[in-house]
Amino acid sequence: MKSGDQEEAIAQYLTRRMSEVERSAFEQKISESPQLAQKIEFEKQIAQGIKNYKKGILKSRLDQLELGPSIVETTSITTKTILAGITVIVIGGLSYFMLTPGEILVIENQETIIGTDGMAEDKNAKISLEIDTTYAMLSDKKEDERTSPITKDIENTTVKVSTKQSKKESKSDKVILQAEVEVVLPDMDGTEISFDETFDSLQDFSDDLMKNQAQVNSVSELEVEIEMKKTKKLKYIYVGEKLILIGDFSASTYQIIEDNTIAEKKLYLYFEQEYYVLSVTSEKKTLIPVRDIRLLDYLVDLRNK
Amino acid sequence: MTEQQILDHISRGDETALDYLYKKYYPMMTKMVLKNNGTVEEANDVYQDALIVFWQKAISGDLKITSKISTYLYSICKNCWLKELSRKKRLSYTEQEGSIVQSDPEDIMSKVVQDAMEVLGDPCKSVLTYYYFNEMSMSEIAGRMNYSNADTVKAKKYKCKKRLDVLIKKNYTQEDFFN
Repeated sequence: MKSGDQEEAIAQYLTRRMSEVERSAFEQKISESPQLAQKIEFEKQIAQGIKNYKKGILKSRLDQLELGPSIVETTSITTKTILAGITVIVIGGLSYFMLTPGEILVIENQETIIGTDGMAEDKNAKISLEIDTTYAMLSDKKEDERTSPITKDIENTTVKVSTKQSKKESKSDKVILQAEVEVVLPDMDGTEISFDETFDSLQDFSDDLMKNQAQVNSVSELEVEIEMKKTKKLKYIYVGEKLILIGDFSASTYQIIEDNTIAEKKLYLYFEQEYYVLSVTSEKKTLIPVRDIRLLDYLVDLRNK
Repeated sequence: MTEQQILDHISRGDETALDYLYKKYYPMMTKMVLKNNGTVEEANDVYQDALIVFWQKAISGDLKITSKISTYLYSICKNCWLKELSRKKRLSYTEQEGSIVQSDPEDIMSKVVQDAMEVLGDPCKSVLTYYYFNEMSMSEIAGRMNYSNADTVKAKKYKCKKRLDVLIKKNYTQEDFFN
């Protein structure tokens, strides 16, 4: 058999183009010739390599497909999602602390004024508070393994917030923040009010806080999860309403900026003085800082509002 | 689109049918992996692999489907995930034993072939993928690529394969000796 003929026969054999009779005859030849068997083994690997090449092209094609938010279903609750829940609450809380009445809530990008819309107001409304937030529960060492580095970062954060007190009580999840937030009221009469003494107002405050956190959460159903990795390269996955940030986010706090327009919803990340665009991706994508000056200006404005 | 229409599109090599299937069954298939201790990345990977197995079987006329596409796809997905789990288990056992995980020679070869295919360029890439992946007949390839007849394709395929062999042997020898 000529070399070309033999190669053609091998190709036909490997791609199942031979009839049963031809196949049997060829297999007989293979069993008689170790050299032919070896050649077939080599050609088989080449054929497989060609198939894998095409598979790679098809996989890249599938990776490029835009999957709508409804495509990914929420998975069952796991430890990770519980942790993500805590993270979202903390981000929500942080967003709350960082805003003052009259400000536009960046995460919503609509004029949602943090305050007491629809709430019964106390006569002592508009008390300015300086809050030294110490999240005892979140900083508890026992929680180390489950606590995101981000949640740790906001320990001892001192922020100023003006809020209105409300008598209206919320029964939702008071437990989380009641005991953990240490509030130091400004010197209204020269004396510092201890934690125990302020318990009642603190409880009201916590209720308000939870309510506003709920507002934040209900507008943005984004589920944020941190996959801690000691690497300089930051990556992310963003599918459906789930955002997974991969990398070392322990250095400082991050902010998710949601920009809703009528046409679309855009998501940005602010971390360590850099802004990043978060586009929908089911594969790990590297976070690349925004360098477009116009977009940067826009994002700085958006964040500063 | 009915199931038959999908299969018709696939048999014509219409890759938009692949996109359609991917989106349609994404939640169902990935959920299975996610519910069985898989990550989002693994779920995507397994589903894509399974879908491509399905695609390749369908396009090469090797698909004897007696159930709904989703059922069939689900079973491929499940097998792929079980295979991946057992691979992970083996890998973790090897790591525990302290053995050095060496690259599989077949993986190296596959990588060499893929690199060579990239260098080869078109139309050789298309001729060879139609022949080996799609398992299309010479006449079908002629029709798809506007060649005059099956013999022209046969000659073209032969030349392309020779060029590929040269590239592979060059690189494979280097891999063998230097790695």
